[in-house]
Parts: sequence; C-alpha cells; structure tokens
Amino acid sequence: MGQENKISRMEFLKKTGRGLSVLALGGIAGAALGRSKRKRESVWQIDPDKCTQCGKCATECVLRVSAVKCVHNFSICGYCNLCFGYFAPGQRELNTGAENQLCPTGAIRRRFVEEPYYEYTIKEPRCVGCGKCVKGCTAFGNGSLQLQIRHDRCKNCNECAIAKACPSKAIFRIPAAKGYITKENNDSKI
Amino acid sequence: MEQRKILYSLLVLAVGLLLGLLVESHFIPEKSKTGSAKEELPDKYKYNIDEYKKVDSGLVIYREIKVFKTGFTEAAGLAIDKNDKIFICGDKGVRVVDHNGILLNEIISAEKITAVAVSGEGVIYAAARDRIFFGKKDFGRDFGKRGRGKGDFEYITGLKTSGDKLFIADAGNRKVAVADLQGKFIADIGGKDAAKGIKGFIVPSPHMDLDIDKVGNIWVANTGLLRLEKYSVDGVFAGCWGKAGAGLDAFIGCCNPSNFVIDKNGDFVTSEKGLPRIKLYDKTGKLKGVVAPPSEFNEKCVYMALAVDSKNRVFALDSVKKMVRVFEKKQK
Repeated sequence: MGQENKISRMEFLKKTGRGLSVLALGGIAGAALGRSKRKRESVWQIDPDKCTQCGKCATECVLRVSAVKCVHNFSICGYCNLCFGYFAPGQRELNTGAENQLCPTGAIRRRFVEEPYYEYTIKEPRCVGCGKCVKGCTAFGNGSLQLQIRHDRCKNCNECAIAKACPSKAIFRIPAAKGYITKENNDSKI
Repeated sequence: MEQRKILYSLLVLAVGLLLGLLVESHFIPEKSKTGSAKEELPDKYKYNIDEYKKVDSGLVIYREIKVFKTGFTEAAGLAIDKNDKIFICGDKGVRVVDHNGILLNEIISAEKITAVAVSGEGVIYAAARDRIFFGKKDFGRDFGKRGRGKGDFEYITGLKTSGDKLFIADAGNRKVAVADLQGKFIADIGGKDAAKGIKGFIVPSPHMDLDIDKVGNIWVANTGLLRLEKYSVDGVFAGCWGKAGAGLDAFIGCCNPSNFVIDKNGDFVTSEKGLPRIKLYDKTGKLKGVVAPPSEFNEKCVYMALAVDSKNRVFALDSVKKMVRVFEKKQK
C-alpha cells in the first residue's frame, strides 16, 4: 500500500514544476488584471487653466510621439477667419498656404463654414503636442484649442514623466469616469 | 567539432550585440518626438511674438503717472463722470474712487459686474452679464433678462450714456441695444443684413466696447473684423476704420481692439489683448502714437478697459496687476 503511494523524484519535480508554473501564471494574470483595474480607475489629465504651453508635453512623454495632443473645444470657438491658433503672426494672406500656417507640422485643417466663419480641426496623427497653436489661441482668442492627454495613446504610467517635468503642475490624476477637463467644465480650479 | 560550433555561435552573437549597440547609439535618438534628441523644443515649435512687442521709444507719447488698486479680484470695466470720479466694476460690484484711488463709495453686488457707465445726472448703470442695475447710491432698479429677443441680453461688455439714452454693447447677442435712461428698450443697432452685404458684429470672444463721439455718433468695436464702426443714432452704418495686421498701426489677433475710448480731442484710445498695448489714433484712424507699449504689460492682461478724465488723462485697467494705471501725454 505504502509502496503504491510512493512517487519517483523525477515525477515529484515535474509535478512541483507544473504547480509552480500554474501558480506563476495565475500570479502574472492576477497582477496584470489588478494593474489594468487600477489604471482604469484614474487617468492623467491636463488642467487647461494651469497649462502654460511650455512645450514639455512634446519632449517629456515616454512615447516617441507624445500622448498629449491639441484638442479643439468647439463649443467656445469663435470660428474666426483670422485664427491666431492657425495663422502665424505676420501672415501674408489668410489662406491655407503652408507659409501662413502657425503649426510646424501642418496639423490643423481650416474649412470654410459661412462668411466670415471658418472651422478648425486637428489632424491628431500629425500633432506633436508642442502647444504652439494653443498659445496663440489662448493669447488672442477664447482658448478653445487646448492640450490634453489622449487616453487612447497614454500608457498611464505610475509616474507620468510629463507631470514630473510640468513647471505649472498642470497634470494630475482624476477618476477615469470623469470626462476630459475643458475650460468650461473645469471644476478642479483651486 | 561541437566546441567549434559553440564558438562560432558566440562570435555571431557578439557581432550582433555590437551592431545593435552601434545602431542604438548613433541612429536612434533617446527622445525622438520631434525629430530631435534635445530636451528643448526647436524654435519652430515655439510661439514667439517678441518681434511685435518692440516699439520705437519715440512713438511712445504718454508716460505713466499714477497707479492704484482696483479693489477687485476680477475687475472688468471703468468709467469716469464729469466730476472725474472713477467707477470701477468687477466681481464684487462697483467701487467709486477719486483720481488717487481713494474709495468714495462702494455698491456691493452678488453677481459680477461686467460693464459700468454713469449718466450726466450721476446715475450709475452696471451690467451683471444679462441684466442692468441702476441707481445713484445703490442699485435699486434693474431691467433686462437673458435671451435673444428685443430688450434681452446675453453678455453685456460695454455701456455708455449719451443725453437721454443708454447704449448697451451685448457681445453675446452681437448687437448694440439702445434704451432710455429708465431701461425702456428703443432699438437694436448693428444686425447682420446679408442682402445689403452688412456682416454685422463679429464677436469671437467676449470683448465688444462702444463710445459716443461729440456729434452723437455711436462707435462700436467690431472686434472680429478688427475695426471700429460708426453708426448714426438711428443705427445707420456710417463708416469704419481699422485693419488687421501685426504692425503697430493695425490691430493684431482674431478680435481686437478689446476696448477703446474717445478722448476730449475726439481721438481714439484703443487697447488690445494678446499683444497688450494701448495706442492713440486720430479721428480718421491714423496712428498718432503709443500710450503704453507691450513691455508695460503682462502678456496675460486681457481686460484693459479704458476711460479718459477731464484733463484727457488715460485711465487703463490692468487685469493682471489688478490696478488702474494712469497715463498722461508727455510734454513736448
């Protein structure tokens, strides 16, 4: 009876190894799940009222092309013909010529709506998050262009490299259930 | 044989490792977001209007003589009566001060006052965005409500009285409303008329000021078109001046001049946001000189309401410093 229950050393090692592998696999899966759950609970966002468009968003993100993009809050846009988020100061003509555009990567599209209104949309793949257009729009217009961390791109690092470098402390975590912070719905103003 | 195989494999592995290190150090920048490994963004990614901030000192024909606190966190408007009393409006109501900033009277309001005017009889008119309060010592009466109909308002940014009329610049509705001094609606000025090619007031941001000249014409800042427009008292468009551009004689940005006032000589004093500066133009819109160059202001100075006293001194609101700044013409 006692002899039947005995297992060989090889068999013991195999079983232990298998058990440990399953345990490790479970542990990894559990850790990954836990991590993703925590990530889903809060996300990094930019407070547009604190942002000074210093340019760090473009240079500090761990991604090759920053997760920060210019987003357009159409509800407060003036649809200006002479948009200072689109045109470089001292522009020669008010047309879509590259020499007249402010954005160094040509990431803003200008479309005629009706005299004298124009609509501006962001071509996100081209945007590097430098904030040049945001600065122009904020200084001269309503500030409808703003920088924001795009959550389809953001890796949600534990310690955000941009937040660490941000001179105005404009980047912080907020519950993921909350929408993007805009200048209108910004209840994080202190 | 086996030993040789292992040796070759290790050799190939070492070569691959070296190649990898070489490629990484020479061809893959540490941070290549904008095609540069530098921590600083290249200049082409930076917004720079320094060139337009430069003003020839010979063109600055005013000097700052005085400065005093507004007493508000968010001051919005300025008016001066015939006795040179100064009326400042803002987040807590209206403060009446003398020319040294000494408080004479204060009318507290629960809502932010966005514009202020005072009649010849000393009645103070104060707009709380879409409603107008008025009274001599307090705001005992009011008129107006939020809406888009006649006599309704959305966002009042300018008030002026002339004779028995009150002129109200409503940036939200993009019109100037005319009312009597008791608040009874008379007419609207400046509507869009596509058939006549009249574009109406284009107001991209809540900045729309107005003033009345000596003849009684109404001048309105059509900020989206970067010009000042003249209307007869009946509301007929009678002319305009002003051009868009980055030069000193033009108005910069999407929507300027943010504020203006007609001085005792009939000249126009204008203020601009974005590139904060105050300039003086003659009656025809020809630049006469600079009251205060951009170097005098913080670039975030957005609210720069203007008023002129009996001595033709320019009083300007500085929303960043929360001060009223007084400028006087330099002696020749």
